[in-house]
This record gives sequence, C-alpha cells and structure tokens, in this order.
Amino acid sequence: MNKIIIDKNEVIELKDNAFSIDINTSVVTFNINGRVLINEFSIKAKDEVNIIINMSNNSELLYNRCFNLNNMNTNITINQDCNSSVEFNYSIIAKDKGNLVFRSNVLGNNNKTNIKVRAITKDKGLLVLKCVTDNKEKTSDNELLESLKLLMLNEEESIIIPDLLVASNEVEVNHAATISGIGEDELFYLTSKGLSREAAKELISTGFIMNNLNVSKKDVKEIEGIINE
Amino acid sequence: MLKIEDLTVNVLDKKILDSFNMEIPDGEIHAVMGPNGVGKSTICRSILKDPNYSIKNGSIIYNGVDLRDSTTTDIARMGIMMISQSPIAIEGVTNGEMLRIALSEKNNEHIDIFSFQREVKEICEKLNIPESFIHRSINDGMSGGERKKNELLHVWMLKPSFLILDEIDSGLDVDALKEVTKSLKEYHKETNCSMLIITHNPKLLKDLNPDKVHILKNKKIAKTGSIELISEIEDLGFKNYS
Repeated sequence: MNKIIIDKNEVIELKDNAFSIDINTSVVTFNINGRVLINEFSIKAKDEVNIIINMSNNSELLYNRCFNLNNMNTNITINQDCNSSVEFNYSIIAKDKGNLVFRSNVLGNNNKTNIKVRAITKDKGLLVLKCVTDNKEKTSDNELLESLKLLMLNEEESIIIPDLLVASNEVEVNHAATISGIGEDELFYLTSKGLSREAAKELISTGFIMNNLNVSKKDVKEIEGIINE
Repeated sequence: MLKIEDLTVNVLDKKILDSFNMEIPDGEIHAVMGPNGVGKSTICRSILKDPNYSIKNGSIIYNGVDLRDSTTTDIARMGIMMISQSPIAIEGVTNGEMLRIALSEKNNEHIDIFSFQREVKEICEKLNIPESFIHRSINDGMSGGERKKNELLHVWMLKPSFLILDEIDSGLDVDALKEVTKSLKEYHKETNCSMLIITHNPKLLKDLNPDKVHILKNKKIAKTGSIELISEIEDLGFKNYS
C-alpha cells in the first residue's frame, strides 16, 4: 500500500490504487480517478481538518478512517457527478468535545454514496455529528445512505443530526441514526458465557468500531492497537 | 446439585414464581413443561441472575454456593450455561474472540491459539458446521438452526457442568432438531452434565430421556413424574393440573 504523508494544504490526485494516508494539515483535496482505496488510522490529540473529495465520473472510492482522539473539528465534503460510488466508513473514539460534519453533494445521475459513522464517546467525549446529503434536482438513479450510530460510554449529551436534502423523485435516499449505551441484553449474554462485565463492554465497543471498517486482516491489528490505546 | 428453595421472583413488580422448589442432582436431566406464560423461562433467567428478573425470596444453591450472592459471570464460571430460545446476535463480536476471552478469564491463563483452533475444528466437524463460524459475529446473520448450532459450539468449547435449555427446539426444523438433540445427548454422555430443559416438544424430551418431568402451573410445580408424564400431558393437556 502506498503511504502518503500530507503536511501542507494541497490537491492530491489519486488513481487506481490503495493508499495509507496521514493528514497533518488543515485542508486537503483529493481528486479520485478509477478505483481507489484510502485507509487512514490514527491516534491523535486533535483533528482539525477539512477534507474535500471530488469524484470523477465512473470512479469508486472506499475510504476507511479510524481515529482515537481527544478533540476534533472535522469537515468532510464529498462531491459526486455521475456514475461514481463512495463508501466512507468512519469509526471514532471521541474523548473530548468535537464536531464532525459530513456533506455529500450529488450533482448527477447513477451515483452510490454510503456514509457510515460509528462513534464511541468516553471520558469527556461529546460529539456533534451532522451529515448532510444534498441530492440536486433533475438527477436520477442515485442510491444514498447515511448510517450514523453513536455508542455512549459516558454521561455527556452528544447529538446526531441527519439531514437529507432531496430535490428529485427518482432517487433512493435513506438514513439511520441511533444513540445508545451498551445494551443490558448483550452484557447479560456475554457475562452468562463467563466474561467479566469489563471484558464484555470492551469486546462490544471494539466490535462496534471494527465492524464498520471494510479492511483486510492485516490492518486489523493496527486498528485494534488504536482502539485500545 | 442445584437446589431451588422457596423461590419467589418478580418481573416488573409482577409475581411470576411463588415459593418455587426444585432439586436437580448431578448428572440428572430434568424437564419443565407447562402452559405458555407460567414462568418457565423465569426459572432459567433467575438461575443466571438476569437483571430483568428480581428474586424476592428463597435461594438457589449450586454445589453449596448461594447464587443470589454471585454475579452472572461467577455463575457462568461455576459451570452453568443457558441456551435461550432466541439467542441474541452481537454485531462485531466474533465467536472466537468471545470464547478465547471466556476461557482465558475463567482459567486465568493464556489460551494456546493452536490447541484452541484444533479443538474448534473438531467441534465444528462434530456439529456439521463450517470452521468459519468461529470468525463470524455471534449469531449475526444466522438462521434459527445456525444460531442453535452456534450455541452448541459454545457449549462444547466452554464445557458447562449444568446446561439450561430454554425451548432450544424453537425455530428448528425436523432435521436441525435431530442434529441438535444428537449433539446434546453426546455432550451429556461425555460429560455427565446436569440439564434443565424447558420445552413444549415431547419428541425432544423422549429423545433426551429426562430423569424427571415437572409441570409448572400457578407459579409452582403442580406435578412431578417420570418420562411417562409426557404422554399424560399429550393426552390431557395442562388443564387437569393445579
């Protein structure tokens, strides 16, 4: 996998390949051509970044982003024209206040967008998670999904705002948004198999984060290291 | 030996069991039958201290330990395990992870991955399920039959000494039920574990051949008998017991 370290605000062309990226700047634009995989896994104190993704026609993007961080202010904008497909899987462990805003602009026809966010809030973690899907008028055959789930391991009051702006009748747009704690039924099931409550909670929260990411086996260890930090 | 004495259990302030008594000696298979909604599952859940079930009075003693003073984890580590009628799915938690942690915590030792995998392979062959089950999320995306076999995988790996089967036949077709029953008989023969079976299915009971059959009605045991009691229930139903 190609490793890219981004230290300054720039436009990066990515074409037909798999990339492991590390963003250390405030604005980055990716122009996607062909079939592209991006993996971005990190432990950070802060994530203040605007990511702009421009999908060219007939392109496909799988973006796996997994962060364990203290503070975030992240904006991700995805622009799609025609015949493109985006699967954005974002798993976060938030330990302090943060904002995450997704904006998906669908300008043309026959696009697929699947934005899946799985967030855990712990310690002082408080997340405002907003996802705006904007499907423009006179478009057709688009399939757009926002799936936003938040697992609270603390008492802070996080918010999810799913926004669907749909100006066409010929598209399929769905959203799912849930905020919950760890279910007592799940804890009972695992403890009734002999796990301690602490181990059961850790297993459920790790599974919640991991299951969202579409990654190969060799990436799993790295992600587990980030989650359990 | 499991001994339940004078057990009174409430669910959401409603009394479900009242001064309920039962004794299951080591190695014996006992069945509890009864009309729907009389509290058969409550017995199972109370033994494992499901937080939704509130024990108001009485005791549940397993091998000399009062389970009221134990956590669900402690009870499981004493060797009591339940297969419920519809085992829940846990997305993202694999059978392998769960079993490795359960075994490692119970025995307080590191699990050798190679012997673990060898054992999984043998059990999967025995249960006629793909070895890949071990890497799948617990019961996630599995059919009713697959879920029960998945639970049997847990049984064979964790080796409980007391097995609670709460309507294990629920959702199983004839062939799947045969396979599940065969595996349970084999497990009982191999380990001499005790079993508490809740079921409406006479065929399952005839195959597992319980030492005693109890009829639960009006919050307590209305009658106890041998396996012949099953034929009596088949003929007369539950209306004659009180």
